[in-house]
Amino acid sequence: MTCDDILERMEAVDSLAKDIYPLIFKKGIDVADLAAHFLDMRKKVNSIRRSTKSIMGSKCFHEDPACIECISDEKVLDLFSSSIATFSDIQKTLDQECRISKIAFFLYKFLLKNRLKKLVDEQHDALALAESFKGEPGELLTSEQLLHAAGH
Amino acid sequence: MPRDTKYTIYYEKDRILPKLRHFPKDVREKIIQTIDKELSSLSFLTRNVIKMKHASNRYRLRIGDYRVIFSKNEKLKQITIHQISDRKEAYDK
Repeated sequence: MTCDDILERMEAVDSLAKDIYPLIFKKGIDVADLAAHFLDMRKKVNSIRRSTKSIMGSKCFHEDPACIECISDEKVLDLFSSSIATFSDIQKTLDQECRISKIAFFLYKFLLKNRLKKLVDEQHDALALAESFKGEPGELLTSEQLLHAAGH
Repeated sequence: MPRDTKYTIYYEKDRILPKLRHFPKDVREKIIQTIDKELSSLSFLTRNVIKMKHASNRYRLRIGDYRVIFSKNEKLKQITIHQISDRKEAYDK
């Protein structure tokens, strides 16, 4: 597998991220839809991590099942029960059955949003890293030379 | 590594220049100034710098929505900037 292959696969994740972000902020979001996107994105990101590991020969992060930073797929599925259609339904369920306050729900939503942001951040790092290996190293410039060449 | 260790910073022209030209002038200046400030006396104590996990001798400096990928040569006391990437690129692809 080459860096180009990795970049190509990352583009697939990019398009998923583009789908997910509007969903997060959309009112009346379909939670089952969001969960499906989220899981799909997780799988692709993990797949890319494994590919990157094999090509660059370093340890792959977040593959440890005991890693507390990762939300397990099962936990995500539990939280996004398929019987619950929208965030407002979840809110009602939490209020009525679990007696969990709105604050707790919004905290979860906030954490989920941050988790997705983190995934995109990791993806951005990986993309920039892969691009830094593309092609041959060329001429080197100092800061002043670079700014001058850029039109300053 | 002593905190006052000085490094000379170089940029890979073919990779950096085309990207830099797309950034607004003030952003370009801010990025270059921050790189000079954060990396010339590289202590690696700044939380904005991490060592990349997938490659040896590759580090990432975060400047707001921008990522700077660089390597260092301890012998020559030289840092080479390989990539400057805008977060937007992660969505625009």
